[in-house]
Amino acid sequence: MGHSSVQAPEVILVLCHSFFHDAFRVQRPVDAMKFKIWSSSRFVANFIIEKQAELPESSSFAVTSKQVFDHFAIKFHGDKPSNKQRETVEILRNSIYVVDGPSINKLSIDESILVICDTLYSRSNYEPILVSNIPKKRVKAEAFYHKKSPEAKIPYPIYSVIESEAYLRGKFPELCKLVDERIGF
Amino acid sequence: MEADMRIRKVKVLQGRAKEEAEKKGLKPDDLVIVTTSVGSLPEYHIEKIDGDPVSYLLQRAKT
Repeated sequence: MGHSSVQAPEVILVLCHSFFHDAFRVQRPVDAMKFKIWSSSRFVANFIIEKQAELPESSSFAVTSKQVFDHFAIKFHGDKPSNKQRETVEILRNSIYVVDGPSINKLSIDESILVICDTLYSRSNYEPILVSNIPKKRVKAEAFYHKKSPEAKIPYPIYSVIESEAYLRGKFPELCKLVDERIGF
Repeated sequence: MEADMRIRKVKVLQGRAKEEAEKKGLKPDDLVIVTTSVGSLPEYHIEKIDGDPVSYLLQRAKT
């Protein structure tokens, strides 16, 4: 009988549309709380790109649905993108795994993300973290699980970007230092 | 001719893409946009990212 080894599940960030909205906002918000959310979103987005840049091309550190990504792309470049805008979206698409399949594509934006989280959680090799800046996302996730069973609980963490930044800083201190250096902190 | 564009770290590049990065004197931890054009032979274009990648991409999209 061959030797078998058990690998620790890989952390994977599942990104909802609010993350993209905040991370790729061009202007810095003036309001203190909005600024903190913008700053943490930028940090998390830079971290994802940094992490993905050294992973094998077949592995992903962050995932989202086609609906979420397309929604972001249209808001980012509008109906008539320039070549450079189109390239930017393509480069980002190659840093984030975009789930594009008929069964997911027919769901709403919120449901698509919850189904991705649940699917990843059900595979023992992933530890999904849902990243969202919308407090109502937790209520929606609870309703999603209550439909399955009244006692069902959300089995994975839902972090705001501020909580996500703190989590990443604790888990990947060296890579976070490099991200800070690039940002110029 | 189709092109694939993705952000990679210089230290994980291989083959001719790595040679291109070395010609430019880039460091192992530098981030680059690698554009791979697939014609009869793949061609690699290496663009160094200055500063943080999100700001760089947003600035690049404006040009």
